[in-house]
Amino acid sequence: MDISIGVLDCCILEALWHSRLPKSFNLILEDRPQTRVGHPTSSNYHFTMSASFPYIHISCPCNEERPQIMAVDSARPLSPTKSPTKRDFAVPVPSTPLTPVKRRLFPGTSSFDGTVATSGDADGERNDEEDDEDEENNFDPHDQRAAFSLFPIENLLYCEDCHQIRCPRCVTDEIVCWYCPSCLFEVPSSTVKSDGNRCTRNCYLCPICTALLVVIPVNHIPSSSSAAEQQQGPFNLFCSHCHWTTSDLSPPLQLEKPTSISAQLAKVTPSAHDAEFNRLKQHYAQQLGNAQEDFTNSPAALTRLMGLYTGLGAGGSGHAGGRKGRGVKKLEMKEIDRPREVVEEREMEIVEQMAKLGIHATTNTKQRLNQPHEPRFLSELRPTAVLLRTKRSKRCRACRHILVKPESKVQTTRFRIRLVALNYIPSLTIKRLDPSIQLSSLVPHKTHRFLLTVTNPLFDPISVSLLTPRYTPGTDYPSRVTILCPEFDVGANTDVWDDALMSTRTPAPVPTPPPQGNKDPRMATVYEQKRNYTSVVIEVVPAEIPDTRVARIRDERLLEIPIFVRVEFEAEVDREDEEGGGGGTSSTSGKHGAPGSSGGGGNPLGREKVEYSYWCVVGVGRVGDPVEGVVASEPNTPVRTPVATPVKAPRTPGVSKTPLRQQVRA
Amino acid sequence: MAPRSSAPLPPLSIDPTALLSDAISFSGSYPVTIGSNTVLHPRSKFNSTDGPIIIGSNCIISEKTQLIAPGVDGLVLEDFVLVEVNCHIQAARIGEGSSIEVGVKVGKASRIGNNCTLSPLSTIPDGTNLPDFTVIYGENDRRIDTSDTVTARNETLLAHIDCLQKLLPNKAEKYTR
Repeated sequence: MDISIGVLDCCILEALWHSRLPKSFNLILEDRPQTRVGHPTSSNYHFTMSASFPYIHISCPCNEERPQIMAVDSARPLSPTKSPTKRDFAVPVPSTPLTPVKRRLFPGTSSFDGTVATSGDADGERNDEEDDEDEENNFDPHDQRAAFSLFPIENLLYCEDCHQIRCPRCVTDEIVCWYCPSCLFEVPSSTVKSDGNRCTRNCYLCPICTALLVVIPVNHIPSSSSAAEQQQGPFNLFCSHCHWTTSDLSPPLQLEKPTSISAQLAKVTPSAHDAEFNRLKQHYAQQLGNAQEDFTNSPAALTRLMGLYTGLGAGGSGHAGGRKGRGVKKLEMKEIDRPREVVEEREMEIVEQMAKLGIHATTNTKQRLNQPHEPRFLSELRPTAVLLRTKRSKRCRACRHILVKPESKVQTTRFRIRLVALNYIPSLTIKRLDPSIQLSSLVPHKTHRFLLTVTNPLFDPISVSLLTPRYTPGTDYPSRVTILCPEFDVGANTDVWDDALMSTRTPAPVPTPPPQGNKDPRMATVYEQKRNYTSVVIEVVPAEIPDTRVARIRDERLLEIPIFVRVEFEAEVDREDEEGGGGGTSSTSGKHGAPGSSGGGGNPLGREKVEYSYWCVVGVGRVGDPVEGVVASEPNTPVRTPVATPVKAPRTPGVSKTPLRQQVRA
Repeated sequence: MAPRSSAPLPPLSIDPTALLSDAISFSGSYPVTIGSNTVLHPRSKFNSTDGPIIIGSNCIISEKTQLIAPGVDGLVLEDFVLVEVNCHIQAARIGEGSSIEVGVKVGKASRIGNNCTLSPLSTIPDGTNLPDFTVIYGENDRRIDTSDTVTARNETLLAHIDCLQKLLPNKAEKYTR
């Protein structure tokens, strides 16, 4: 490298050199779909999403029900002893959404009762016009807001008191403890406040490759020598991954003892930056002390505090001619206002050093950002102490009940409480019926068949209705979607051995009841039914969609199907618990009937009909370019249907904001 | 599992102090030489179809690792080389005291210098020449090892071999006809 290269050029060169994308970058992207949290726009996740098809994300009720949550929150102080029950949620909330989103304008947002759903079944023969109108109520996965409430089921929790799914946005975190991930020592919160969020023991990371450093003697001691000899220094910190040692620093850093490294390092490596930081810290501590003593009677103190940041304080008063009446000591740092000086000699030194040592001796961005003072050369890197981690418990934002509580002991990974949604709501999975389907390029106009499997985690058999708009909403190029069997039963999540043992003794009980006679033949089209899961066929005919990824932010070709899942089952419920909450409000929601107090007293266990529902989004794949020979045709011809005659998915119920539980005396 | 009797073993010259476990697969027709005190784990694979394989003394070749001679000049592993699990090695030479860690791919006819360390899952392109004391780490980043820990590492390797010799049953006689 030529010595005439300026500082700027060096920086650019450096940046270029280090800007190679790490290999793991793609892997990170592939992982992203699992954590859909915090994507500001749906476009973002659409881009990252395309890595892994198919995926199923479940919409947290916070997408729709923010007003309700607020109602509960405000109601909370009135009855601090009782937990809000389902009735609190069943109270008809006038639909005044916080933000006017189109699909929130439901025609009737009164309490959800079974009639709405059955009416949906009854007029299954609706015409397309009405369906279009119906789309107003459909969940639009392309909606920008939707991206914030869609999560894979693994990320969701379930509040047993609200009977609601809770996404990471609907819970509050509380830190149970701080600990060092490498030495697994718990750090008390007072120490965290005083000493910062890094391990103060002997855990240090390699500044080059971020592996853990170990202490080794500088001079090799043969293993045959005695223990006393092995305790003799000096010692190095050594990275067993990239073989970096503290001797590589300039000047070489060697420790006298193999223990209490933090103290030794602090002594050995004082820097100008540290000194400056300490001065600043002292300065602000002093300011704070002064402010506290005269806050009570002087508004000047407040102005002065403000002035600290705006530059109108004492530092500014010097050249502004001084404001009178400021009886405040001049403690402010003069350096704050001053522009940072660039010493030319020092910069030239850097350039020369770069020219001499070459680009390999400079730090890359990652390394530089990990260090407190952004060093330019590898020889200036210092071991970094391990960042502490926390264990957190999570509370429901609405009812403040704890949803997740880990053991406070650092070494155990168990949880005391862990109400994950996987144990409460049926999970959906989707797979190709025909393995030749390319999920990343679905053929327009071709009928793709997928197998949608609903798995029941509950110990009661459930009946499930899957409702989906006939055409995918929220896009100009709707694809046709048909669930061949939208209503079916899923067996209870019994012990695996139960079935086997049952079959030897009494062959009679089938895990799921046979379809009732009064239902129509669509019940017969269940593709596969096993112990606690049922599979049905879903047909997708993608539309021909132009590739808009370049022109627009969002990927029109991404085929996401919203499915409304409604689950009904009869559960044994602790009646005492149920009555305690909502005896008074039961009259407001008509369907509940009167839960007679006579029944409640003697019989603690009652059966009640529970019903809940949620939206989920199935990302089946990405529509590819049209293929010649495959033309638009009427899908679902019975010839091509392997299982039975297809049926149209019934209309999505007009109300998607359902109270999560309905109670009917069994 | 004994080696297939159907496929003849390549000519082997195995030092009597070497430890060969069960189910090592040798294929090819060029000779394979194994030095003293070397440990070959079960299911390591040696392919000498295109050239000879020479393994020095005090080496460890782990399971599922393939050593493939890249050409007529053969593959030479010098002394004190540790090859970890799942590696795929087609190098021409691996220098003394190098350690090839888990899942490393060493490209065809590349030459690894002495005392190099290839950290897990790194890849060496074909025909690379790595100077002595090179460390490949992270995203195939390189640095020169100045830690002066060679003797210590060799000592640990010897202790490792010592331990393996106690643990692994020696089936060397299976391969020496």
